[in-house]
Amino acid sequence: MGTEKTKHFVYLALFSAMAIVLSLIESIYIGPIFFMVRIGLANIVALVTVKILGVKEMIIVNTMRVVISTLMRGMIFSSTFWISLGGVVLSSIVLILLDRMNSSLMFTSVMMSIAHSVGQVIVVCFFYMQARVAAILPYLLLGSIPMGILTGITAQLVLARIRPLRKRI
Amino acid sequence: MKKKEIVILAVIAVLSLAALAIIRFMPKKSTPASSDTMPEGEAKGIWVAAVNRGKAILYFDSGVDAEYTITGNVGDMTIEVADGMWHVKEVECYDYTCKNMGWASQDSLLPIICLPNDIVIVDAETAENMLAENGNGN
Repeated sequence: MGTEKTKHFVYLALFSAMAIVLSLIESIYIGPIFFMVRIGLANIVALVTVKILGVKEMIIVNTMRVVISTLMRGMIFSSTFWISLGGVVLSSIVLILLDRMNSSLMFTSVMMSIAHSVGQVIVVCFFYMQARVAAILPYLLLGSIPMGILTGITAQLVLARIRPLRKRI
Repeated sequence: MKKKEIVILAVIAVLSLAALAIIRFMPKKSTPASSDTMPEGEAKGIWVAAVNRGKAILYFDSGVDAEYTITGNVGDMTIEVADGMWHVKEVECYDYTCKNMGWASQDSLLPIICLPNDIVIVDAETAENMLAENGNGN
């Protein structure tokens, strides 16, 4: 029982660390791929976490990712933090709902990517009192579909490798 | 992916394309009227403001070709104005989204926003309304 709990915490720490590193790499080195569309590498970890550990752990990983990555960039509680949080909250809600509905991983990934963009735009609209920003949503939604498929495929590949490994340890 | 899921994604893609088409053919925004809160004198183009942390830190005339450097939360941002349009020429941040947004004009629907620097570049009238709503009007 004690060993199981330790294993669980180790996995949680590993997933959190992976999400933070991927989030930092994406924001510092990769940036937007096209116009404002980003890959959403950290979404891969969120998808893997929900399938391997569960919903509660996914929420912990996502919260850690937003808080620690913005803290490391010196952006904690800045506009970037709240915008990031807006995206993560909405995408986490969508992930939980679609996971309960037993949707496919690929569809969940795309919808998560879309929800992330929508969440960020909603916060930007409120933050800057600029409803016109919503005009960017169609671009982001179109961009989110291929990016969501990309992260979905990656999450599938990662899950295929992690699941048997987890049984052995 | 299930058939139903593919249909949902196709609907989202079609709706997004339709929204893009609507935005493209939307009637252009009318020229904002000048007000006494703008810098003195009539602008050759329109007055444009750069807002940072709830304060207008720069007003410029879109009709005068020039370059301006302002400082945001992360670093400096250089705004280039030419032919009645403006864009972010250089910026010190990790994102470069504002730079990638390209040229904006008084007809642009989207304001230029730099999240890391917390800078919004909009026409002065919109900026004044924004600041008034935030309770920081100049």
